[in-house]
Amino acid sequence: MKNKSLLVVILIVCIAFSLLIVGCSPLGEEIGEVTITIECKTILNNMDKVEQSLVDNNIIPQDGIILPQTKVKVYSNESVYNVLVRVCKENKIALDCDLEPMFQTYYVKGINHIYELSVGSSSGWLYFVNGEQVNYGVSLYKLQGGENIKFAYTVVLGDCNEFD
Amino acid sequence: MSLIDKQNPIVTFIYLLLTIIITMFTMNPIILGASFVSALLLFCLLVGIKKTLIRLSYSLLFILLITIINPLFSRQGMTELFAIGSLVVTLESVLNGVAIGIMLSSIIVWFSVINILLDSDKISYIFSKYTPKIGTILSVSLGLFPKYIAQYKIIDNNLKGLGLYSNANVFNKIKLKLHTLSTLISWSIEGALTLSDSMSARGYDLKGKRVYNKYKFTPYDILFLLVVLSVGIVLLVFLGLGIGSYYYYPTFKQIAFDSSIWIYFVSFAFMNFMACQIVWGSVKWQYLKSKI
Repeated sequence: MKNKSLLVVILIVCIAFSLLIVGCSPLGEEIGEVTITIECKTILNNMDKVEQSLVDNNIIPQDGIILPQTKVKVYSNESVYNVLVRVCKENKIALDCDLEPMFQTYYVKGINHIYELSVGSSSGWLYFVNGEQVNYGVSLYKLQGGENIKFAYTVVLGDCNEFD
Repeated sequence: MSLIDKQNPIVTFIYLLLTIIITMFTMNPIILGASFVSALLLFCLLVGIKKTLIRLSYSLLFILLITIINPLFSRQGMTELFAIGSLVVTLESVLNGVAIGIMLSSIIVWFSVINILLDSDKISYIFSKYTPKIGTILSVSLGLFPKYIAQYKIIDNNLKGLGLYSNANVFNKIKLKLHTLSTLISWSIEGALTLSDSMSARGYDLKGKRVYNKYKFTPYDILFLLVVLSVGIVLLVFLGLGIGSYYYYPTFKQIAFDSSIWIYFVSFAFMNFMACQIVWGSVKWQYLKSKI
């Protein structure tokens, strides 16, 4: 019995240590800069659809810009997700992402307390790299440096004229 | 025969159905609290204070469990309490967990009240006229759990009597419990066959089979039914219009004590109070019994 409990203790220590290593994994070398913008201008035209809880708490900014264009350093082997998390942490913007086990990527549920489905039944967050919408998850897009990233809130998913 | 047995089961059924629907579809803390308290009060009147305290402690444990689990899955909310890595625990998600826990545990208590107030006879009386099969299924399935628990205890005591538990360590004890469970399952399958045969031989699956009943609509029944229906219509319309709705994210809604929420609360509390009063009328004699 004593050997068994010793084994369990060693196992727990190993798991904790590996978690520590994963949690504090060091950044790679710097490979350049990207710019990132977060905005929700489309909501301003659809204020009648917005959930009451967002209106009451004045969540939606007057000009629709949550984060103006910001330059961020990128390190090797980083994805859009890493940059988004770092930027939101620095600027104190609330971010809620879920790991989707089926696609092995993160799904952005909400930024700045504005969640998917908060403004009508087809609303949610999209992201654009160099002006083009990307149709897969944020942590699958590896960055090279020099990209122009934009996160935008869509009210009518698939409406091309929405972001003009 | 006590008063609650004389009360028409249809009235009791409508009342309990309404309270459960209202509890299920609201997140307003005032209504949830009223529902939880009145469910416990009714339960206490029916089974006594000792069992209620045990049930209350289980409920509190359940609420605690959901309070711990909810922040793990929901990172919404503005008031940050603390953060472990990427996991941010907010006050809103914690209190939302408390509300969900109260809702679920009060529904569990309501269902145990249903189990006491409506036995299989009454359920087959409610449903037998139009849907005899649903009535039979409900009355049989509601009776299964108490039956299984009793049989489980008998099998377990048998194993104990054989002396298998005396020298067993933890793993062997779990093995024995699993063995008890598998015995129980095979017993229940056997029992279900016998049960269905004997019930169809007695004509339970025939439409138009009438069940003997002694229930009439007394003036008291009609009064209670009127109260329940009027309160139910008011509350369901309120629910549909979203009056008294409440949100926890991104931060709590200010509880507005305007007239609509008072109508909501007072009518709900009055309905439950009336039910408690009826039950109290039927159990009062137990407390007035001379103890000399």
